[in-house]
Amino acid sequence: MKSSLRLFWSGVRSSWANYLVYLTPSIYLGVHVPRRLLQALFFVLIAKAAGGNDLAKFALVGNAVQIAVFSAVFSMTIVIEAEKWNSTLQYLIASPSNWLPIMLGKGMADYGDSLVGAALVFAILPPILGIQLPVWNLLASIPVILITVLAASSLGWLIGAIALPVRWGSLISNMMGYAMMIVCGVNFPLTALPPAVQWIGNVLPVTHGLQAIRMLLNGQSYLQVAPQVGLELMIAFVYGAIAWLVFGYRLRVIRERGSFELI
Amino acid sequence: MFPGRLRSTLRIFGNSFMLQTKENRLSQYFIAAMLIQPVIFTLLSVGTYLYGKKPDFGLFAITGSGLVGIFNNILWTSGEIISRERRYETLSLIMATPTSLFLILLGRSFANALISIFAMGMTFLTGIIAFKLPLGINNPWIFMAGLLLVVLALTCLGLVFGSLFVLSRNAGEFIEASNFPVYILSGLSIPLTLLPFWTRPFSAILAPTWGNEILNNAARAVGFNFWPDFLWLIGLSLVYFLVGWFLYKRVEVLAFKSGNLETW
Repeated sequence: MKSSLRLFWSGVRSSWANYLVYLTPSIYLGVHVPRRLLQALFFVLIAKAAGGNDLAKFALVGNAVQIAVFSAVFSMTIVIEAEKWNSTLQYLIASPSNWLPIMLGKGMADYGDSLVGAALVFAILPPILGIQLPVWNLLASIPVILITVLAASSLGWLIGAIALPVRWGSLISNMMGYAMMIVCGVNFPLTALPPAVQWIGNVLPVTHGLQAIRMLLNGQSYLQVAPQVGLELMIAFVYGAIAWLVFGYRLRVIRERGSFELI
Repeated sequence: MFPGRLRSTLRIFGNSFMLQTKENRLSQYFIAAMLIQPVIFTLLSVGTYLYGKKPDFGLFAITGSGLVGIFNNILWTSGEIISRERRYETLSLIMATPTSLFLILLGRSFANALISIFAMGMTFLTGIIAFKLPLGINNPWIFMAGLLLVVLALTCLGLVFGSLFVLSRNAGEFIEASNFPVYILSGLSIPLTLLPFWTRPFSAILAPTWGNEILNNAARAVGFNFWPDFLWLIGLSLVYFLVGWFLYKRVEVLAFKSGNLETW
């Protein structure tokens, strides 16, 4: 346990160091933050034009969470992709250490950053758009937002594990992030979609978490949203478990075949 | 002398065009931006309008999503051209040859722009298949002419960005940050009336704003006067071209003075 925690912390430090190299203050403030705010604003404005302030509020909540979800899905895929592109995967495989805590740790800086993104959207866009969000209800929804983004990271990890032998990991996760905006009820409710698409949305992370967040924002209690949160946690666990198995399998196959250079 | 020079210019333009087309065929990002992203944007924007019981906005959302796809392709690939040459360590070599990088950029940007018209086709196809929207275009020739003019204007805009990217390694980040403001200010899938009045001058200097207006009017209106919008778009193309040319010349002088491009 102590050793796993040490490895996890080592992963966290490594992810933070990577982050500081890539995201200089000027890039963070000049590009990263405005991009997230403007992406959310774009989709909320479409909703406002389509359905007035009610739909705009719906889309604002969805897009604020989606900003974090998008980032979590994409960056967990990139954590795995980066090992491939930086030629460090072989060291990960050859090392006797358990890779799971390290990989989880390496996603932590992105996880934190994605939550900051959501917080910024929640803080800045409502006053600009004249949308009222009850502050206490918003604070009450924070634990569910954390769970939802965690569930999204498990999907990102799964995409990274599946896409390890090909070179399309970041592309797949990018497109998945946008597709989730349709099937997870980000801009409009899931009920507006055909039944088959609704089914897809129901087995993806984020859908149930987002429903729970909206219920909390409307003043409902934790007890009332417990079934949705439970479903979100279960989906996160299932995706995480599959990702763990697939990634472990990939590493085993690479070790057996000695085919580092082929991925 | 003149015909020889023209022939050589056309050859360079043609070769750059062909090279970019071949590179695009192998680029997963280009294919995704052209084929997948327009579909997703159309589903999102049209889906939102249909849910809000505003099916009349369907065509508006479709042309907007198409222009999003075209703009995204052109801007992204313009940045990629320079970044790739930098990664291959061929940017300095190209700058040092007597052939102007500006001309090469022009040919390559035009290739991106022309192929990106497929994005518009994808959004219309999505509208027809997924939403069964009636998407008849009242003035097809004006629509096509408008589309070509938008492509030309965005090619010239690509030159402005391409010239700037020579002096920066953060082209990708810049593109990421500039996409959504342009979509919003140009009213792509969003009525401009939702934006505050002080944003209008910014909208007016963006080619997608006028392209969006021409395409929507061509699709729906009957007997409208399209000439002012056409002239505005042509004027903007000229301005973009001149700004791109001026910037490129400044960049060239800076690069030759320092003797390398590695400092940027």
